Formats: sequence, C-alpha cells, structure tokens
Amino acid sequence: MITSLLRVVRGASVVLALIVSASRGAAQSTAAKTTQRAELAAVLATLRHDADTKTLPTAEQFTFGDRTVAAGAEPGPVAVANGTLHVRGTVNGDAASWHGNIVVHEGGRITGNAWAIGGKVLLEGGAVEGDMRALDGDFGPLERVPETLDGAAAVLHQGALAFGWLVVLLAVGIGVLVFASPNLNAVGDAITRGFGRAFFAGLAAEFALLPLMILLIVALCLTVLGILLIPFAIVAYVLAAAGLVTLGFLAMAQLTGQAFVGVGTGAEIDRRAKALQSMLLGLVVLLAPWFVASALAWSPKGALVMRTLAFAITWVAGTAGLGAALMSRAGKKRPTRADPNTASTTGWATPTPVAGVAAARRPAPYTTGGTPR
Amino acid sequence: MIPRALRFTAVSLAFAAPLSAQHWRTLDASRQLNDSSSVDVRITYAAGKLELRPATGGRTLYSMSLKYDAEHGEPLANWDAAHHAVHLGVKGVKGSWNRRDAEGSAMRADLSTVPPIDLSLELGAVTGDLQFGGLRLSRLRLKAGAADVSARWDLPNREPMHDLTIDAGAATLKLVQAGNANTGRIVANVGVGSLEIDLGGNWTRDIDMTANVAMGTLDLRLPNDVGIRVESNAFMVDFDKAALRKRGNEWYSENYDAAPRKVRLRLNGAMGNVSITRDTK
Repeated sequence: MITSLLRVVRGASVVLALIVSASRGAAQSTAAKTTQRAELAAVLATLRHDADTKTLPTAEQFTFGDRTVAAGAEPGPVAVANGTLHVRGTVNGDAASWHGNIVVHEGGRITGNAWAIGGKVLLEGGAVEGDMRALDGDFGPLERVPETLDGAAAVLHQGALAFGWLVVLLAVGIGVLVFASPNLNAVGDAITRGFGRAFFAGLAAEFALLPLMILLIVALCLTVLGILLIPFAIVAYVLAAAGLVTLGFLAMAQLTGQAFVGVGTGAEIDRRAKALQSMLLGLVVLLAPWFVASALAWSPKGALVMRTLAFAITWVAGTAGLGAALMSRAGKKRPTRADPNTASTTGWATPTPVAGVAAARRPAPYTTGGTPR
Repeated sequence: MIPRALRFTAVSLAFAAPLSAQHWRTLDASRQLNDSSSVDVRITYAAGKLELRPATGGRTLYSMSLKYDAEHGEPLANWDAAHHAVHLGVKGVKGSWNRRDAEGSAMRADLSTVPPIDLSLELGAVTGDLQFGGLRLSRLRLKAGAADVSARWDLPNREPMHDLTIDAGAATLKLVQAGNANTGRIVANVGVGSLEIDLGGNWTRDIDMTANVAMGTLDLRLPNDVGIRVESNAFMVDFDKAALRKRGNEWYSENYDAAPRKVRLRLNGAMGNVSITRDTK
C-alpha cells in the first residue's frame, strides 16, 4: 500500500516537473520570438526606405517556423520567419520569408510578389505572377541624409547654408576690396546718387538678360565662325552677369555697413579697416533675414514668411546693385566732381550776400541768346 | 596645445569624411514570362560593373542580380503592368556615389529572348559588357556619361530594330558586330568621348546613319563589301577622306555603286575626329 502510494507521489512529482519545465520553455520561446519579431520589424523598417519595398508585409503578419500553403486558396500576404514557406496551393497576394526560402511547388501559385529576405525564391514547377525578390546582406540602419529635415537638424542645416553664403560673399568682398576697390566705390556712388534710378535700371536689366543672351547667340549663328564661340559666349555672358550682380550686392552691403561704422577719413590704413568693417557688417545685416529664416526652419509657415522677406530684401539689394553696376559700367565710370554743364545747387545758392559781396547768379548754361533773368 | 588638438581634429575629420558607412546588399529580382507581347525595359545604373545577357531558358522575362551599397543607392525593379514596362538598376540617393561604391557595385541583367524589347540604358560611371546578340530588340537607346562600355551582337538581333541611338557624352563606347543589330537607322551623338562602331555581321538592309560629333572621336569600321556615302556638314572636324571620292557635295567610297550593302552617313559637328576604316573581320 505504502509502496503504491510512493509510486503515485513519484509519478505526480515527475508530471509536475514536466509541466513546470514545459511552461518555462514556453516562456523562453515566447521571449525569443518577441526579440526576433523586434529584429524583423527593424529589418523591414530599413528595407522600406526603398520605394519598391514599401509593400512588404508587417512584422506582425509573419509566423515563425515552417509553413505550408496546402492545395486550395489562401489569402495573402503569407509570411514566415525562420522557416521555409512551401506553396502547394494558391496564395492570393504576396508571400514573404525571413531567414528562409519560399518554395513554389508543382501546382502552387502566388498571385502577388514573392519576397525572400535572407533566403531564396525557388520555383519547383509552380508560378509567381508578380516579382520574385531575394534580398540579402547588411540590413543595418542606414545613415542616409533624409530628403527633408525637421526640427533642430533643419535649423542647423539652414543655418550652415546661410553661414556658408556669408563666408563666400565675405571672401569675394575682401577680394574686391583688395583688387577693385575704386570700382566698388564707384558702384556705391551710383547707388547713393539715385537708389530708385539704380533699382529700376537693375529691374530693366533683369528683364533684358535672357533676350540679350538669345540675341547674342543668334548674332553668333549668323556669322558662321561665331557658331564655335557660342558655348564660350554663353559662359562668359553668365559670368559677366553674375559678376555685375555680385559687385552691386557687395556695394550695397558696404553702403549698409557704412551707415553703422562710417567712412574712414584718416590714413589709408584707417580707410581700409573701415571699408572691411563696413563690408562685414553690411553683409551680416543683408543676410540677417536668412539667418532668422534658418532659425525658424522648425516652423514651415514661419520659415516660409521669413524666407520670402529675406528673398525680397536680397532681391532689392541685388537689383539696385546690378543697376548701379551697369550705370557705372562696372565701376569704371566714376563721377566727375566738377561738370560745367551741370547746375550745381550749392554753387549758386549762396545764402545772403556778406559784407558787400553780390550774390552769385544761378548759372544758365542753356541760354537761347536773350538776357538771363 | 589647443591648436595642435584642433589640427588633429581637422585632419581626422578630413580623413574620416570620405569613409561614410556602407551597407552592401544583394538583390536577385526576376519575373516570369506570361506572354510574348512587347516590353519596354529601362536600365538605369549610376556606377559599377554591368553585364547584360540574353536569358537562357524561356520562362523568365527578366532577372537581375545586384550588389549595391544601400547607403548610396536604391535598387530599381519596378514592373509597370499597365504599360508592360520594367525599370531595372540602381537609383542614386541623396549624396553622390564615391569610388568605393563604383568598385564594389555590380549588376547583371538577363533579358528574355521571347518578347520584342524596347531597351533604354542610362549609364553613369559604368564599366559594362553588354551582349545584345540573340535578343529581340525593336529599339535601343544607349546613353552613357563617363562609362567604358563594350556592346556586342555575337548573334543577329531577332527583331527588326527601328532605330539604334547612342549618346556617348564623355564615354568610351565600342559597338562590336553592330551589323547584326538588324537596324536601318543609327544615330550617334558623341560629346567629348569616343565611339567605335564596328558594322560587321549579317546585314538585313542598308543603314542610314546620322553622326553628331562635338569634340569627341568617331571610328566607323566597315566590312570590305560595304559602300559608304558621306554627306558632311561638319566644321573643323578632322575627317579622313583618303579612301573616299567627292561627287557633288558628297563623298563616296570607290565600291559604293557596286556594293551590295550601303551606309549613308550624315555627319554633323565641330572640332571632332572621324575616321572610317575597313579592318572588320
């Protein structure tokens, strides 16, 4: 009796041990599957970067281990992980495998695409109506530069661009100050004499740029030899136009800077230092709206408004500068200080006769013979 | 101390910058042949080694094996059922390909010999070996930037080809046995590259050829029994006319009238180099 009781207890304990170990194994297996599913989800997310892999099944649609689609129809997608997918019937849609093959047996059919990630698609008498893809290799996360940046990345990117432009323009500006300072001053003088005139001249030039280039090409075509020069002429024309705009913009920047730091009037070294300071400050002021726009890059609407404003300011400066550069023939035509044909307001407008000196008469250069009144 | 550290950082960054991450992947893509209706095939390949062959076995419409750097390229294997067209190759993503990508990348495409194919290739810095012989090409456009490509027709094209257009920008292209292309019209545009066209093979008709040579080199190799007539509108082109005779405004080979097969070449361009030789075996 006791012996049989002991046998029953021993048997029960063995059964209990088996149940405990089975449940522990099941728990471990579930944990492993969870980890693998997370890994699979990461791989699928990486693969979805490519345009034609966007229709891959989701990680939740994968089952683990071998699977067979028996004769008959089964709706897709059918996806297996760590196992082979045997297709003997019809999969109405896509089929996918991860770390396993897709085998389409005789009579088997996949109406969509067959994807094998880390495996192969094997046709053993069956058919795949869509594309067959076998992908392998390094599925680690990509470090591609995203097409659109957002948040801090966008602010940094836009800020770097604006800073880059500032550096480039400053470098060009220093070059102009060193090698073509008189030209720069002459363009600046042209702007000072008449900003409106320079702006409208620049506007007219902008409208005329393209027709003039076409005219140039046509003219070169008419002279047979000139045909060969067309590519060079186009490049030279574009460079000349860009050069004039840059010269004008730099002159605008220097004038803007001079409003803050003034013009050097003392020694040469002082004048040069002031010119450099005014150039730097002017460029910072003119490009400041771009920096503000880049700081607002996190907000699409704010950035758009600020970018429009920055563009408008840059365009006005560039247009007026272009006009002034053209009017002063790239700074070669410098203003004459005493033009006998020009009525100088300060020349004749002496205020009150002082101590018996008669007030000067206003010069009348265009007399018709009569006595000036 | 600080300047040294800065210098070290700058040098490190300068050397580290080109060593961006690479993610090499392979893709085998294929599609079964369901019918024999004509297909438009477009191949875009930016950089690497390219092989193109006629597919063996009649069940595959196309198959492509790619090795590519996923960091810089996106594979293309897009089937457009509505237009019966497929776009294969690798599309460059933001950021240019570097030399290491070009060295490691490879593509092999096999095309079916069953349906007529309108084939268009756009190649960048590619080293290519293209075998068109045995395919059924109804049209072929080959556009190459800085490629070094050899295209061959070891077997006759099994479909009359409407036209064969070659754009060799700065590329070195060699067409071998192009007489097998089964075409009556060839358009060759040479920028600053060089194009060699060997018109050997089995001709099915005379060929009208237009060559626009800017500053590159065009070398036309003809079989001995082919006559050639050249209408030259070229200016300052170094064109070797030694074996040709002028009649009216055109230049003719001596055998032109009696030749069973003829090429009519319209030559346009400036500052290039054009030669016509007869060393085709």
